[in-house]
Amino acid sequence: MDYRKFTELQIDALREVGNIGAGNAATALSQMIQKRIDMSVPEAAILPLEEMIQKIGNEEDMVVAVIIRVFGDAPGNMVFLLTMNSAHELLKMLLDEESEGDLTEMQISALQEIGNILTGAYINSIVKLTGMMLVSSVPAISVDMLYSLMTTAFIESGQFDEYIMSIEAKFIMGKKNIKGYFFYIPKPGSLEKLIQTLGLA
Amino acid sequence: MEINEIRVGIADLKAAQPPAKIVTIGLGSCVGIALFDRVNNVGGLAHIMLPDSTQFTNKTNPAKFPDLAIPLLLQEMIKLGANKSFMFAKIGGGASMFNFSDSNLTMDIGNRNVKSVKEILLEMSIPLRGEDTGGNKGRTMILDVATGKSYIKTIDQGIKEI
Repeated sequence: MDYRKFTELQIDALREVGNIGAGNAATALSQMIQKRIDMSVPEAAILPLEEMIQKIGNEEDMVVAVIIRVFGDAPGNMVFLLTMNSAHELLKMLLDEESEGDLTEMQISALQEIGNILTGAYINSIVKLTGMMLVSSVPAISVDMLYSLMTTAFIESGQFDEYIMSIEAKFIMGKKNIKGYFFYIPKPGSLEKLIQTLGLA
Repeated sequence: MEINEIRVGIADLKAAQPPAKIVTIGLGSCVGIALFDRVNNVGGLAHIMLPDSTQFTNKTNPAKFPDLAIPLLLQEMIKLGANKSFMFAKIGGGASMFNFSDSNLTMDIGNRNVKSVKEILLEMSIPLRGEDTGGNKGRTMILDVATGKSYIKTIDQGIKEI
């Protein structure tokens, strides 16, 4: 399908869904690390995949991605992505120990659990807002090239077209400039259902 | 960046003559297919993302699918003077990037892509001379048209020839 056919009003509504979802997730993270978190205004982005990736970093940058499958009324994938530097800074805050170089199994497991909590908070807030039935899976984590991870996440969501759609939000923590990204990557048809549920079809 | 480095994006393909290097970055479940004519020194690289075009109605970009991309790459190479009888292939990619503890959640698009690429190469009688496929790591693939050698770059193992 061609996502470019959405109206301004519909895009605004999707952005608001992202705002509530990511806001809830940021609050959960803020409570976990007892630090203030600033969040960017979420975007409902309809872009060529390569442009979307370029906004995060270089294609071969090593990043941490936690993914959960979303089932139910609006299926898709939810990805929580951290740059390597940000992953180390976040781990320092959480585990109160130095962190650099390769991640240990313990650290990977900690990041996976954070990703799980945050994506869960995001999905739950969409459920509360819309009354839709959404169920999230256990998480999977991967530490690898940005481009490989993001292209695969979109392909696994059934988004194969030139223009892809995701609802994304970026949060920034304090002076350390920890950057995390949320992507809700809907399967084709899911956004239409979301828009219908919000009464904007 | 090197002057003669040619980039192939996702669902894209390029053919070239020496001394070019053709590069495709960040293969995940996608598969990179390098073809090389060792007599006429013509190389080509395709980056496909889905196993089979017959499952889709939208085929505006043939480079997405191996059954359309490989013949198209061959045509592009023939335009540069290549001859199919002297060609061989090397492939890389087809990983499963996200491994869930519940294996029902892990998708096998990568495996299906690799299988489909091999079938098409066999149908077209292009011998497969090397591969680095499967697993769970992202890969960058490089074809050096000056030598006909293909390389795979991963985050934890650096560069190796395939």
